[in-house]
Amino acid sequence: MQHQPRNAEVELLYRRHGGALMLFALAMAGDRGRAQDAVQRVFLRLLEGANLREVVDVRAYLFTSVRNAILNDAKVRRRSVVLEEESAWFEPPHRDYAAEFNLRRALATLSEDQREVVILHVWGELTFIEIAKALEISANTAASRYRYALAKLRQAMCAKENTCANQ
Amino acid sequence: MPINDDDKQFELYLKRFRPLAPDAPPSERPRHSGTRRTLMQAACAVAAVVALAAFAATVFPRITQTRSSHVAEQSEEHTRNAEPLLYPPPLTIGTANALLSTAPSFETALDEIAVPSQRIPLPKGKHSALAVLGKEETKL
Repeated sequence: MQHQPRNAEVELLYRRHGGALMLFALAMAGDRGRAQDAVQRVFLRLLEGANLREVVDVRAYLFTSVRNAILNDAKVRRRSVVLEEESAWFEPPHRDYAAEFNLRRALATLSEDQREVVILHVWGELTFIEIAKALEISANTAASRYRYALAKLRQAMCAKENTCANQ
Repeated sequence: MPINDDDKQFELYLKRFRPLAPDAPPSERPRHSGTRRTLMQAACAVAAVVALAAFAATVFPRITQTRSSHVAEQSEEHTRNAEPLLYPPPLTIGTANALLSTAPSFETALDEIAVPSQRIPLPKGKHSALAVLGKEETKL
């Protein structure tokens, strides 16, 4: 028997993971329009009856699908992605929009590989094993990228403006 | 590879930034339903046009037929009851040429050409302006 998600299930998935998926898509695609398209395409496929019977981890499946959707976009594949600076990615704590901008700028300094891993682990809440499967790398590579990325982020965010003093 | 406490603390700090929610979720098969709706509207419009055309085809010929026969009857009646022409036809270059070529003399032709005055009956006690002016003595 095939498991085809119903509308309510899909909406629940969208509400639960939509934000992190969108952030991941933004970090990969560079602009909000392409990111939104990729996320919407994935959920539209689910609504049209994509089979989730063999999916062990739906969350990991969603991130992988969004990644594939973006990589299938030839325009993104052909160039190195430039992250747009105008639109916000996060809702910052205490409406600290300077910190939000600081975080975005710090994420932009990371390599694409490192950025993917950080977003998948911190905001996507995927384990390194799940990240390894999604990105088709080893779990050790995923963990290693994460540690380097975190160090780089901290340096970029906290060294200049001391914004992480009260973390 | 273990993650140290500092990294854990920084990770917690990062998690306080919540990703912005994306736009509203896609509705089920929006393109298909939109296409279906458009097709339905087009079908309804075509059906309405066909029905109107059929109605027009059945009703209008009768009306046209009735109207044309009525017009023919009217024109026949008008011809029968037509008032006879009291005055000679208007003078044209054609009639003048014909008269000049057939008349024995130029003067006769001019007499023939002369347009008779219209005699419109006037009510009692009224006179035409021409008659009044004709009787008036003008002193120069």
